[in-house]
Amino acid sequence: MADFVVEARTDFSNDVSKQPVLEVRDLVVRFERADGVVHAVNGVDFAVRPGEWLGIIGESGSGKSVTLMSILGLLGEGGRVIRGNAWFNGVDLVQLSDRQLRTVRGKDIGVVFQNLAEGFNPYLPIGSQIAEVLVNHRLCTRRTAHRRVIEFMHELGIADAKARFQQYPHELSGGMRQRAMIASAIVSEPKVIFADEPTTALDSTVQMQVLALLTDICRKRGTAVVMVTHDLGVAAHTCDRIVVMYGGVVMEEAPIDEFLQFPTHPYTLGLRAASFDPEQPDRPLRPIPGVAPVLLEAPRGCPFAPRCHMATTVCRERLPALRQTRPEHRVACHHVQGENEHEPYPIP
Amino acid sequence: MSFAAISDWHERASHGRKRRRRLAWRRFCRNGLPVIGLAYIALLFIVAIVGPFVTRQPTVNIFQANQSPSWAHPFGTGQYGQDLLTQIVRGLGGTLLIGVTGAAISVAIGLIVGMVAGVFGGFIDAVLMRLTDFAFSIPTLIIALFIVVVTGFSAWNVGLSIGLVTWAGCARLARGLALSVRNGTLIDSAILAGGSRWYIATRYVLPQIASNMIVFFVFQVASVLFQSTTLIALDPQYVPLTGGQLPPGSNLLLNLLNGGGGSYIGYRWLFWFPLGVYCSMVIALLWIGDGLQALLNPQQPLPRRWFAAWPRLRAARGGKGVNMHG
Amino acid sequence: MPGKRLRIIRVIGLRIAVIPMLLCILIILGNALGYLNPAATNQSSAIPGLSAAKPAPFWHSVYTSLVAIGTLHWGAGPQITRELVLRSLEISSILTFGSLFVSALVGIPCGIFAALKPRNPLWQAVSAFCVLLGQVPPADMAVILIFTFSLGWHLIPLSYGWGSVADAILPIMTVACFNIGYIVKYTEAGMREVMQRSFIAAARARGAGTATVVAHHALRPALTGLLTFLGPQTPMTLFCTVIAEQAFAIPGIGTMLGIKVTTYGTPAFGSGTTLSITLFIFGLFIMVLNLLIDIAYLWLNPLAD
Repeated sequence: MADFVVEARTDFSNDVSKQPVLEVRDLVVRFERADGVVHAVNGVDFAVRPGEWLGIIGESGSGKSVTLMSILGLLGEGGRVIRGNAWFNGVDLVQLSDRQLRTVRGKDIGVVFQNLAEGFNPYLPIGSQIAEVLVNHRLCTRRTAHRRVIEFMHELGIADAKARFQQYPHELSGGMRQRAMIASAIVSEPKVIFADEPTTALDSTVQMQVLALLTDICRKRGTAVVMVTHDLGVAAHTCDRIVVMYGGVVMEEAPIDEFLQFPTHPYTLGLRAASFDPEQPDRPLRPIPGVAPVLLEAPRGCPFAPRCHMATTVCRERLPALRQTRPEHRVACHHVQGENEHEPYPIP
Repeated sequence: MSFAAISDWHERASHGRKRRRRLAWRRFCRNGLPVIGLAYIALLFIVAIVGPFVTRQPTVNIFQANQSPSWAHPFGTGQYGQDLLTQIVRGLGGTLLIGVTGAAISVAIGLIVGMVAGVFGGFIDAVLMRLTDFAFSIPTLIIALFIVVVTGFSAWNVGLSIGLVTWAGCARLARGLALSVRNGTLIDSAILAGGSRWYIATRYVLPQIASNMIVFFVFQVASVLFQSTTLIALDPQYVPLTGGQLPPGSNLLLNLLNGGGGSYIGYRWLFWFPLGVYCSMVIALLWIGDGLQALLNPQQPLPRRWFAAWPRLRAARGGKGVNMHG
Repeated sequence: MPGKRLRIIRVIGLRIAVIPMLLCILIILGNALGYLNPAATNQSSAIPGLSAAKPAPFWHSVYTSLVAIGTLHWGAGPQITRELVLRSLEISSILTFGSLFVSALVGIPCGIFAALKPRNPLWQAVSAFCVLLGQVPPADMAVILIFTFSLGWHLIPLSYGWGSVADAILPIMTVACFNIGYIVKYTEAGMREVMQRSFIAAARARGAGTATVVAHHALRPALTGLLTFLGPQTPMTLFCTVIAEQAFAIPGIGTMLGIKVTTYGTPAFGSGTTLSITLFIFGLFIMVLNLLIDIAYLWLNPLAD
């Protein structure tokens, strides 16, 4: 009785030649709110290759989570994708109806939500919520799903999985809940996982455990992961490639080693200056002046221009396009000229 | 330099306050219904205050009994030939008095009980909450009816009796709110600063739960009015003519709703006009309450604006607070 | 889960144990209030064989009420028998529970659809109409229903009294109209609130359709919200039942206890005994209803203690 079919997967990790499994092009998302239209995402491009970890970092309100949620059609009240494509398996997810998207959600793209107490329904036992993915997509019967989820929870290091299956979310600790959340995202063996700040609410030891678990299990299955985080350390630890977002626009995109060695965009430099660097422990932390924009108007120039120390008239007039500066390193800044620009800017 | 920065913050803050106030007003009048309700209730209050000065107590004129609506009697006449519109206008004050008195008494008792239980906690909390549970399970209207029977039928007594027995819901709400405020860090800092229980209750807890209590008050007025009509239906007050005059209590809406001592069978205006006035009054109160609740729960998303003129006006002002470059 | 079940049984047992105590307090309260009534002291007592001129001592009247409740026999007339009292209790419970059932059956789906389709004018109108129905006084609602369904459209034959199923339809509708107002209102509010919580987005991200999300995830939290508001409304439901009984001349418990004035200005309650019996019967009804609501709440909500 082959209720549960698992496709054979090969290890694609870091295989550049492979076609991207998910490709987002020029995505624009707006929210209609009481106090006007919020321009949450203003033309975002990125691609995820099979088995790759893509980290999207940025401040809160920079449109990271909204990008992911809009791909799955899970925007809240008033949210709308204005234009853009999200190519997945040769299908544009943005064009799909809600009913068609439902076949993708959970089965092909899993989501790990932030570890709030709200991630699971407090009124239902946790096991049935994990098994829900399998039942919803008719991947197997309810009984098989039950058995399979218990096996899976065991694999994820949840002790006494049979008892945990019956427990309610408020009876589990934060780390356990996050493991269960990971289980609910991976149990259907999706091709891509969206991890929306998966470890933000956990304390640092549990954070490391959960991250190691997620890394391990995704590497084993060759699952691509798009992780949204605002923690540079977490991103540096796990990701293969980094996309920096600000004001709903991609600022810089680079492989992780390149990103750590040659950060180029003024915003990235500002972020580096504002965070602790273990190699230079005595360096004072310098915050970026100003506040993150409330995107009630479409950005006319570069969204970072009001806070940028090197902004000129061009920056306020024209949105810079993403340009290749080094192999696989793309930056959206008027003041980064081209290939020869390697030296990081001096921090003022 | 720092001074400039601070003044800038001040500008931002005051601007934010203005924007918040505008948003609050928009939250209140989402889809316009609460504003209509507010205007209608204000109109009723004006009529109730001015009415007794411009009308005379309707007289008994048996030759004009049960006449259908006409220009002389817009709402028709009752079984004694009294003008129904005049009766409604003159009884409106008493009707509103019942609602406001009953709601005020029940909210006052409930607020004191709930806040004392929430702030003091421990044994006092346990005792007061058992009392509230008891108040929830007694047949309130029977006792209210008894109080009215003993003290006599008047607007004050009806409001008082209903208010005295319906405070339990308010007490439970006030206790829950007081507990949620007490568990916050603000109260801890107040205790550390050496504030007494009474000081904390009046200066910290009360201001924070006052807004919810106002919303509850509005809904409670509607509830008390409903209960008063039920009370009168349980014990209809037949109106004996004393000296050829109608007694003042006969004008009250809750009395007219039940036929005003006579029968409305066959005289449909005697049924529909008081019912229409009563229902519109209560629905207006509910609309106001809904608007106030939307004001207090900003998490609830606002619907899109229906009128096109308003956003255009706002856009003409340059979309302040939005400017990313200044 | 055995732990949860055990806790629910303990909580329910505690509630049931408190009920007799509360009922005793109600009897004493009723008799104490009866002493406030100046008319009662001058009237002939409701209990045959007691002297009318002198009011009975307080504890004696409490004892009399207890005896009356225990023997299910009160009032002066010998026509009131135990069978009659039990029959009236049965009729009243059919009306109360039937109306609650009908209003939940109609009100909860209306509330859900009104919450899910905030821009659909039809469901918004249905919700607004239900709220309006809940605000019409039950006495007037009975008249409207009689004139519409019996005399206007001739759907239900107009017959006063109790006996056939058709007799129960209009009274149940009268009481259900009161309940339906707040059931729709609070179901809608609860559903709106629940649908914005993030576990709903998580459930949808696992591929659940709207029907699954509503039925499997959102309904239980929304209904627990409704139940907390349902508890305080039970006394009013009961009084609406009494008014419906009066309007349709049904020999229910309200008619049995004579909660209405028969002559001009005469107080409704002859003595403390009558009042305390009334309080006892109604208190019992309300407490049983509240108990059922508590059980439903504990069954629905795993977080409750």
